[in-house]
Amino acid sequence: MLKAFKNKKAVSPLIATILLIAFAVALGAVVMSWGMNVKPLIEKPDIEKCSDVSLEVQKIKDIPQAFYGGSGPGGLIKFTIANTGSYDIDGIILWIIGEEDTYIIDLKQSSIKVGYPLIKEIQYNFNVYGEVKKLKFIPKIKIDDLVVTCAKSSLEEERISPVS
Amino acid sequence: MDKGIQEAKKEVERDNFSDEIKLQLEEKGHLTSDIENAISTYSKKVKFNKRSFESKEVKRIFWKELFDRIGYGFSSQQFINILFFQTGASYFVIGAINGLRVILSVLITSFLGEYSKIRKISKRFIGTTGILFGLCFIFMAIARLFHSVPLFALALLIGSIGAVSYGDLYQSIFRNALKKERIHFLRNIAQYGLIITGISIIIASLLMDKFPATGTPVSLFGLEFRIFGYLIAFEIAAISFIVSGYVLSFIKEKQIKIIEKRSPLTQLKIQLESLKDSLPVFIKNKAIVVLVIASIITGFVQTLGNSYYGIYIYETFKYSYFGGFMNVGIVFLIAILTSFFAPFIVKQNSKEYGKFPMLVFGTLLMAIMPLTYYYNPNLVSISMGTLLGVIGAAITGVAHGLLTADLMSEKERKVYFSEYSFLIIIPYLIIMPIGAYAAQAYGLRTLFLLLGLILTLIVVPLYFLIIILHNKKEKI
Repeated sequence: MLKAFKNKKAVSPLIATILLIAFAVALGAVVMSWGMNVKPLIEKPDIEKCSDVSLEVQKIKDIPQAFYGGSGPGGLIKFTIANTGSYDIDGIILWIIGEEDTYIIDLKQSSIKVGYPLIKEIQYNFNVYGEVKKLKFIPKIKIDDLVVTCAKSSLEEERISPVS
Repeated sequence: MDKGIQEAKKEVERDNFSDEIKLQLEEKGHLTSDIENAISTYSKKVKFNKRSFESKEVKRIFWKELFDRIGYGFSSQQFINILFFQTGASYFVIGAINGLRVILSVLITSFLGEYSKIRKISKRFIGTTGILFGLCFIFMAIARLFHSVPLFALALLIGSIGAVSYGDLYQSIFRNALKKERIHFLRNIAQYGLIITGISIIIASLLMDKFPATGTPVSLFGLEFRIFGYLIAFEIAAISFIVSGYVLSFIKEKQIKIIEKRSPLTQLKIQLESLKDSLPVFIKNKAIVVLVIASIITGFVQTLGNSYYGIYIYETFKYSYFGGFMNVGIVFLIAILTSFFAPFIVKQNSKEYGKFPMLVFGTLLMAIMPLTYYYNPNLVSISMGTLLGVIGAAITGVAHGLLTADLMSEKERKVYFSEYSFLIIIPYLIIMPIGAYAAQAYGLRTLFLLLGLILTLIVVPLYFLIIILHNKKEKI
């Protein structure tokens, strides 16, 4: 009996490797599934986070920096908006409300960090949508990996001037 | 008789007294009792003087260590990367600059290591690099304030040069300045220093969360100004390193004999020539070639991952858990505390399982870290993944060292370690930008998946290949 304990042989490298690989895989599986149900400690409800979002059309000499130009299918809309809230904006949905119809566009590359502006120029078809009456900017934010649209924090601008 | 005492005193003061000298003095006609009296009187004095000198040195080194640890905590690499990102740097720029920083660091470490063997590098130079290192943090804070990416990148690169020169060369002074038993005592202080670094990380996180980058308006004595948390944290880091560099100037160093007068450029040429000579020897041994490739890839994964882990945690959880910087601080505090006991785990297991299995196991543990960031991005699992990654890196490091001892002769090993830094330059210059581009083009999560897969599907098989090559060689 005692002899069996005394004749302790080392584990062969191959078996040791296989054992350790199995252990590492098991460990990895545990860690990668660990805490999936743990709720973040200070996570606010999504709606509450939207209240931290605020947009503003930039003004120069009291003139809002929202312009239209061109004609027919070659029209354009130009604007400068700023993130004046305390939460980074992940993207913007823009409504261009025309006399005939509303043009809705999910703006690409439109994330705005807190305190930063966004300057954009968008193509607009006057023949289809008519003269521009109003611009509506709806911010989208990212909470963890979820994109939330903050419709209530939208910004509207009716003072749209022709490009000089 | 007086002369005998004087001679004995001189020899004792020089720490040079031996039985031979005692005999010589006796032959000169001095009384044995006089000589012994002189020895006992003066050796006590000399011992006392030495002890008080050493305790002063210990105190100085203690303060220097303390300030260093505070500095390292307030200027944690992850915070630097987050602030670099906030300055406006793209993922590509962050990855590329971090890659360049690593190349510079290993090059300078290797160069200074070899150069300091033949020429004494002045303490003033080391102290100045410490001060320069500290000033770099002030420049980084200014760059963040004015959103200047080039200034931030420049400060980061110069800072890394300062960090290496300062850190590595200080270690040699540290070893020379004290007796072995004292070094052991101070090593303990250095280990406890990890706790100081950890506390500093948490304070820095609190400061940066409390006073965000937009600036907190404060009114003091009728003056209104804005407070920026990162500015305070980096100021503390800068002051700590500057003070530490100043304390270093008081530490006495032993004189190193100058073997040869060489300019730094000549030294570099000699090292490159030595690489030229030793390269064919390494290339002949396929196992060494595969080992170098595996360690370059592992290093690449670590460097690239470390460039983005902090940014990813900050950006993903900035509105949840403990808030922005604190989340990052806590995850890396766990990593620091793990590195405290990781060597113990490694020593225990490497004896039990052997180097090859430990190498594979360590690499797999390292792979769990980026894979967790990809598959389960929540703070709990990310913390656990980071913990395993740190243990894995320690295991791989030790097993790698044991393996090189097995594959190479002592002479080859010395050349390998001194020339390794030159070997990695070209591969790093190619693969680091590619990795940084992948981060920019496909996002951080995809990059983490890629890094995990590289470790499991490329590095682990490479280690198996080394086992096969090694076994073949042994059979021959």
